[in-house]
Amino acid sequence: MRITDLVDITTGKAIYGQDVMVPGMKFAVIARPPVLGGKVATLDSSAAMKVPGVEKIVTLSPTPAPYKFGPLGGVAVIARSTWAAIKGREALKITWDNGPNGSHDSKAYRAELEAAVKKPGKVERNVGDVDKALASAAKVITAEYYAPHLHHATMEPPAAVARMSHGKWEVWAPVQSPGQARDDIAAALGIAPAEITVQPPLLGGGFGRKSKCDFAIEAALLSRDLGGTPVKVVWTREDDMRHGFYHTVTAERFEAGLDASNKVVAWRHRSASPTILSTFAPGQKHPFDIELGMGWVDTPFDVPNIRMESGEAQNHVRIGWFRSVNNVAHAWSIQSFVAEMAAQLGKDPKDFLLELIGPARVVDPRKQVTTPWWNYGEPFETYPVDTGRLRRVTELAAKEAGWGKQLPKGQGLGIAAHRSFVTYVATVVHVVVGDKGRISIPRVDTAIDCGYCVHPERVRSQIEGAAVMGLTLAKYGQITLKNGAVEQSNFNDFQLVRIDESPLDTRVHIVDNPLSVPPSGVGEPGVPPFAPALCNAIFAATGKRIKQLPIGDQLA
Amino acid sequence: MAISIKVNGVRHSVDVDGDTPLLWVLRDALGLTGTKFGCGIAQCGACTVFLNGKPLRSCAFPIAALGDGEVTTIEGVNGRTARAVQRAWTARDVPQCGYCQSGQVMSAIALLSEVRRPTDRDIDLAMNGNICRCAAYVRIRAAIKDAARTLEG
Repeated sequence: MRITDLVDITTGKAIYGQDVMVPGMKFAVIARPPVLGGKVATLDSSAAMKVPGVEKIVTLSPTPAPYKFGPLGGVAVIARSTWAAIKGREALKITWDNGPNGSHDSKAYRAELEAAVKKPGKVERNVGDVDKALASAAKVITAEYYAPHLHHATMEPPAAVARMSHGKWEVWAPVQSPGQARDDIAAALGIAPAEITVQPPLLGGGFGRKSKCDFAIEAALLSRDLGGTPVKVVWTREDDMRHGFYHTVTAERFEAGLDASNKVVAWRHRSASPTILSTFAPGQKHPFDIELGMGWVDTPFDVPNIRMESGEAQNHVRIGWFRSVNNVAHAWSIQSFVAEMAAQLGKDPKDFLLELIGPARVVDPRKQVTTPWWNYGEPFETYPVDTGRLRRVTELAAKEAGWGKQLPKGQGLGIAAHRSFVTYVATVVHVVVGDKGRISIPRVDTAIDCGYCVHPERVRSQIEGAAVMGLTLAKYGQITLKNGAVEQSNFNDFQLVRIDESPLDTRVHIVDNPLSVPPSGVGEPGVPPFAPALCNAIFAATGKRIKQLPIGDQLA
Repeated sequence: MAISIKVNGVRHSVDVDGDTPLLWVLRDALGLTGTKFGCGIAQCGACTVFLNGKPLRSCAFPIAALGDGEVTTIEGVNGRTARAVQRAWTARDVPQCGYCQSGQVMSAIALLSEVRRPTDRDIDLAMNGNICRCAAYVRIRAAIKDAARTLEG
């Protein structure tokens, strides 16, 4: 099955959101408040209006909290070309009223999250009596992990074109949900959705960012200001980096109790992390069902006493969803902790992981959770939590990777397994840690059980790409805030893995299922196991346990 | 001001400021949108074009510096090497979202024009200026090797 746009893409003919051209179109670039909830205090646009090509300056009102997908407001420069608009924006003199988020600081916030997981939180899942089991355990192993905000950084920064003629609106925007975008644009304009047509051109990457249509609403509001004249809003890379819907930041704390024979008898996992819900409703400080269901309360371990507790977390940025969402930090922290325990107990990490998963069976968290359990929108009967399938991918990845083989000093294998989007994935990373902590990855083996596999070649390409996205977030990924504003700006300070750092040999092993095993997700599930498999491999190679992401210079 | 530039063998007169990056002249003034905007600071390679046959990041190159230079964009590449690269790209199903692929194809053509049988190290050096967020790197590497074999045969 060929990709429809394949030839157009390789010959430059494919049209993405940034490429849409409409006759008579104006170009707009917007100076948005650097801090969420901020607004313009003073504006002097006289110098900007003198920039050749600049035609008009428009002040946009910020959307009040909860922000949903509403535009952030600011000052738009409308010009005859993108470059004139960019230069016009540089010439604006704006002072901002930063509002209540102006003191937000990622370092201080981290301390808040870490304090939250040190005390009892809201119980999200309970099995047995974890307090009693921990109190009577022969040994307790405790660990904390921290993972920062991430950003989608789609190769195509957001862009949209809008125009209105004879009362009918047309919007071209690279949005993941055109129907939702139409409704949101209609609400912003105060008209009926039927009055708008939203046409999505190709998306230059989405990963969740482009399901939020703030940029398309901006184009519509500016076109309305110009009486329906076509306007293209162009986001620069700096705009994209500083005004995203960020993947949440999180602190995760584990306490595992062992009996005298080193069997795990108690498992307490606390998590504190601002919720996606805070983008949509006021006062939300705990995760909701979708976040809980993403590889957390469904942790499929064979332990008699289990409790998950969430700590309070106030958002200070717009929290969004990023490819595989909360599974990223859940899988990374859980699978890192499993390997950390194995090391303390002197057990092989793969054997210990299988021991924790336990025998092949169906795990049913539905009666153990305090919020009705979310199973990726799928019925439990069709898509149960099947530890047999999780065991199988773990064993398959290990076997294909040659688990247990002797490696030279400074090299190691690490393994991680995770169920997400009702698919089972296990990854083994072979890492070489060289001079000054330089990481190279000669080989990755990933086993995936996605039910009946409809299009194996696309499954392989998704897993190949997910390995590199996992490597990027593990090695470099972080968005930090100071005085309420994002510190990163472009690919120089928000690095993405390039071809020379990416795994040299990525092997994808697809479990062969008959049509009777229903198909499941493949776009997202490859991401979560990569970072923990890498960190576990780094531990095997160096003895250094990564407790916070990104890895950055921790190995130097 | 009016500036005369030659793109894909055709001479154009464009009315832009001299500091306008070549990228925006191509996209906004000439409508050649195959050359993509990714970062604006020559970090990602999505805007790669050829200037006198050599790869150039057009997003950070002011039009006034072009002089008599001849620009080739993804829309204008042709010849045996370009065809081999584009065919290898489609045969390997390289793209995912595809946005960076104009730049990837341009850099691959440039590499194979210089090095007929590139090693992995050659590929790393030639291609590490081109970021792919979908991370199609496995297939990019394989497709370059396929194209090299086609060109030898």
